[in-house]
Amino acid sequence: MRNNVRKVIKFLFISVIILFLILIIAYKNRIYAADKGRTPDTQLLARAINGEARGESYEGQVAVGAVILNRVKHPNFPNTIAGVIYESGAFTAVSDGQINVPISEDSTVYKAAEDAMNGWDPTNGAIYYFNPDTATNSWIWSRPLTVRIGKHRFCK
Amino acid sequence: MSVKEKIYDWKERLKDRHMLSIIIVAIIIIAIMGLYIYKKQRQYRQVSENAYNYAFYELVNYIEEVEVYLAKSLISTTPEHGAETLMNVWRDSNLASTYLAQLPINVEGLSNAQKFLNQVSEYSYSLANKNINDEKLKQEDLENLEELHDYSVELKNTLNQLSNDINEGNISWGELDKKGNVAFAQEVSNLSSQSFSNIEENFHEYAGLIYDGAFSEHLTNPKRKGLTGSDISEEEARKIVENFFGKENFDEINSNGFSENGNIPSYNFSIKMKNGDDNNYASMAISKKGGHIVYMNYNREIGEELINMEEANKIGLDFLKDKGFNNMKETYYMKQNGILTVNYAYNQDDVIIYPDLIKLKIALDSGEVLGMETTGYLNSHEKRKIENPKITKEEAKKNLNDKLKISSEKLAIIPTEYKTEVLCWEFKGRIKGNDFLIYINAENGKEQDILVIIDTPNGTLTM
Repeated sequence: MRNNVRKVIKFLFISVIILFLILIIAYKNRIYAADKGRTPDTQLLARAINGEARGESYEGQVAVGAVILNRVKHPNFPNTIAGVIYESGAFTAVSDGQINVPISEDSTVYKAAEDAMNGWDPTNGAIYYFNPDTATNSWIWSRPLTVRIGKHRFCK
Repeated sequence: MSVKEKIYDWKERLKDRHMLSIIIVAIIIIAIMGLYIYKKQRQYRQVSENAYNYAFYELVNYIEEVEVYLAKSLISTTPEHGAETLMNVWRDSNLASTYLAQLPINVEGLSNAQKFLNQVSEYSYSLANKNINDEKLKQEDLENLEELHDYSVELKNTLNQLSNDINEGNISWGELDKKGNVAFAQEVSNLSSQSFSNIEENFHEYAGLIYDGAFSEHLTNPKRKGLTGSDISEEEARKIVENFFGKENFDEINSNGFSENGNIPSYNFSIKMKNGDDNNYASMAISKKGGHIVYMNYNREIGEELINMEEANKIGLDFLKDKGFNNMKETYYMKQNGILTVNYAYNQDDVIIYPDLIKLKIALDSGEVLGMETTGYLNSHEKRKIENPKITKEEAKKNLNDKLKISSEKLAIIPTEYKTEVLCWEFKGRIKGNDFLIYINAENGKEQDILVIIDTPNGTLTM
């Protein structure tokens, strides 16, 4: 009788420990797509695009990158890519950790980031964008619209 | 059966199968885990709280410095000391803006304060350069500085008030953090009871400074000299797109609307290409004024590289000629994922005009042009009157480092930070294994700019 109880307790303990180990190993082995010959800025930009717009069309991805770069050049925002991306409350993907989601192998976000870095701007100078289905803010609707791409409205 | 009996009965039955001890053990494990998670969570919260406090007190500190140095710059009389003081303003306002961006407050809540710091930083930098060149500050500059100083005093006072609130425990960063989390598109009004909105209120009047800087108001909307011609309709724009791709190469053209508020008001199209899968769309923007191609981009899988960079460059030049851009010259290239991005600059009377810039993306598998970007050209292209250089090439050379091995020398017009243009002698040369581009002002012989050329496996980068 007693033995049985001990066995069960032992089993429980061991299974909890194994579960923890699995979690730790899974956490440590998160795989990030290999980066070849890309500058840290391009990598960060690609990750921000991945977090914000990986479901969007290619143009929509370049557009998100372009908005980040337009902000770098704009007086109302920080003057570096990292400063703009990690500015508090600026991007949902940063607040909810989507920016850390690994970039899948066949993703176009690196190409989109490079295009944006090379000066391609499908947004025509936008510094904001939002998804009209999820935006909770009326202020953002007052901004002048430049273009609609996919789910996003881009504005100045 | 009463409740008591039920529980008793349940307990007995559990005892029977030795389940009671198992459940107790499970509860203990869950409790320990809960406690552990709670402690961890408290720790993280503390870490972020500390980071916010750190950023806040650094911000206060640097704003105070900005205020002090701005005050000093108002009464400084010698250029040397003036330059030193203004350099301090530049550095400290830069740092202040970095720490401001780290506070958990919504973007639009502080954008005017951010703009203020950016402009103070840039303006003081340009004035410091004036001082270094032994130019005296104008009355207008001093008035601007005084106005900036007034704002800095206000900002400092607001921050001191905030610091009191934080000390008295009226503000918790964690609370602000939660509100800032939802989206960048959050309203500031959430915080209106908090003193943070004071910063923005005080800065509502800060309209921005008028000066020759990249961040100044009147330069965010520059005159677009290259945007010539009369207005066209959407139908005409669609024709231009059709001709660009050629009827045989696409399935359909869809309108993406007219971007009236864009930097260059234009008609946007998305073009479904033939031989592409369902997601293969090219996009293109045609300016309303004059029907210029502002932007074209097409993303597709790139196959084996069959053509080299020289061939691709030739394709690019022919393409530009075909589109009516003559006298273009390649200035910079970069290879990424089988695509060559080439910058072309306009050439007038053998002078390279760097601001008149067109970029092309050329696929190295088939030589197809996948992208085109002309905003530089549209912003600045015009027929220029190029003055004869006051400084001869030989005089300019005297100002170069003796060790420089010169490989090419020519005249060029380069853009400045302040979006003006200067005529320079461009010398390309090598020192100690590094390639440089050195620009000597052809008007006064001063060193205007130095670029380092970095040869990477992907192409040449200039920095």
